[in-house]
Amino acid sequence: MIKIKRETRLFYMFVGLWIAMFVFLNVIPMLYSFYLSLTSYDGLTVPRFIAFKNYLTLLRDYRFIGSLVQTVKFTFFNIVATLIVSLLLANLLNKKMKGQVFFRGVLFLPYAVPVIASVFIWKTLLNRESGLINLVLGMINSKLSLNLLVDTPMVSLISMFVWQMGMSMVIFLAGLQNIPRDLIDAAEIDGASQFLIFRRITIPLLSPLIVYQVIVGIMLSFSVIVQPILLTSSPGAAFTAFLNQQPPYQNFFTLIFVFQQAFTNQSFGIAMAATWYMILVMFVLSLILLRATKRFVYYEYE
Amino acid sequence: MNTNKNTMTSYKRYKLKRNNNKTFQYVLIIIIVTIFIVPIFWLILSSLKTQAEMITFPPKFLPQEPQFQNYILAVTKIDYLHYLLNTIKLSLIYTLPGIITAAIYGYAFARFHAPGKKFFFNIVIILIMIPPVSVLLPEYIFFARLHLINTYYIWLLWGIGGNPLYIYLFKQFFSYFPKELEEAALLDGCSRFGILFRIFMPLSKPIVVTVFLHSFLYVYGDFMTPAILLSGEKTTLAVAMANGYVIRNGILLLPVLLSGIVIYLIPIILIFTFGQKYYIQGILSSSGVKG
Repeated sequence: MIKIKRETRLFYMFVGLWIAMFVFLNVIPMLYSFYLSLTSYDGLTVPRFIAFKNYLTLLRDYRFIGSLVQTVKFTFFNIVATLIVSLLLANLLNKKMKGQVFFRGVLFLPYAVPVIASVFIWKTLLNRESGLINLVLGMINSKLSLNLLVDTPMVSLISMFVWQMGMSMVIFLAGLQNIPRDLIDAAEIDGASQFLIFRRITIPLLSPLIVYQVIVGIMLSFSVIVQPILLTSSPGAAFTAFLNQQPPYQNFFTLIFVFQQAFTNQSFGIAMAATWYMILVMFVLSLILLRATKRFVYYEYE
Repeated sequence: MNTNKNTMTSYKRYKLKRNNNKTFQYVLIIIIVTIFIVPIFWLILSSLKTQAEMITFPPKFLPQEPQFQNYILAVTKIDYLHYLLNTIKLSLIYTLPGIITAAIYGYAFARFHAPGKKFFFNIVIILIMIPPVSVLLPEYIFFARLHLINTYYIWLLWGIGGNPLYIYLFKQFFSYFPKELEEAALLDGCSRFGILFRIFMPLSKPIVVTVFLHSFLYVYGDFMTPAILLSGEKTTLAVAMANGYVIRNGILLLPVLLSGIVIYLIPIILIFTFGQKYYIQGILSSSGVKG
């Protein structure tokens, strides 16, 4: 009989429940969903095995391909906009000034606003009829008005995520505070401009955090579903169940396609296959990013 | 002498530039902070307008007459208190077991050496990055097979399963405790669970608060999960509000919904104002930066 070390036994006694729950809540559902993606399952009858037919059908479905393209586009612009704004704001907050904690608190607050609230806040802000944007434009010139939610739905959506960039700002701020102060002081006294300091010292030292944030950003952008539906689909007078509402094609993302296939069309097989395509794209993008940035990223402890 | 004078003026110029920069910085940050806070004020102003004011162009800044009855309508049109209690109940069902299990798992990852530990801990790290929504549909089908849809047991299971972020946070915190603390207790005949719950946990108040706030606010603000997994009387406030403020012919009572949202935001603003330090700390640890 092999004698297992007491400590090993203790470790597995402590995390045994976690491993069991991980298998139960993550591994089994994912395997089951892969099996279902190979069947024609409508949620009622017994799943019938049809091999990779769902995957082939999806490749010919222009709405699915379109949704993937829009998701990738959204992911790109969302990450670029959010990271630039949060990095600049973190840089501004990092300067010595009175009321720093208060300013940081206010800029971070929107991040804590739940999705249902932020969506309707943004809706009343950008709306043609009741929006603040049009109020301000109207004060400049009474003929000026924009219908942002209808004309530029993706920009409207991204502007909301920029408003909620608090988390990445706080992460950048902590990263900035770890940069040795004398490094920047020395550069300042040598007459380096703020821009040069930012470009030559801040960015390289923050590069690991930037890569981390981009990867988290990819994951988060691909899992956006409630916001585009509730913010940009205009149900007109009738307010129907939220998955039945149709956002404009610019904001029709893959996850919306997935959930509508599952709950509106009852085709779970197609929905699962689309989920697996989405996961594949997500991971390929992350891997490409890690590969591409490997040469530029500065890791202090390596 | 000459060089000395030169350095002096260059230093003065540097000082002057710095002061100008300072003023510019304050102006800039105040403008930005205003832009970030304006949406919240606009929400409050809009919640006091009439339905007609919300749908007629051009928009007006102040409501003609503040409609405080919007707030009364918001809590009576749907059974606001009932759904609020549902939400709190659900948050606690997830949070309380979640803290205990995350502490147990975190303790194991922090204090034991065992083959396979690194592998499992890497899984924890990967799970932190995967947003729950992207795997919600597979889980939905799975729970449907188990007849757990529209029950709170799902949140209990998730709580017992331990949120990967909280496991990570406890692990990081427990790693800093000195080994002597543990050894002394073991010599006195304290069990491992005793060490965790009698010695480590009482010393970990900040991390317990962090996890509690995160976890509570996460369930409180979640929309997609309850929208898919719960229905009818059992649903949470967020879903009930999105569906509830509709009159017979399907018109959404937007100002009433906005009033409901203002009330919904009050606990968050309160928790946020007093617990911001803990909340931010939790996020920072997850990204690997020291705050």
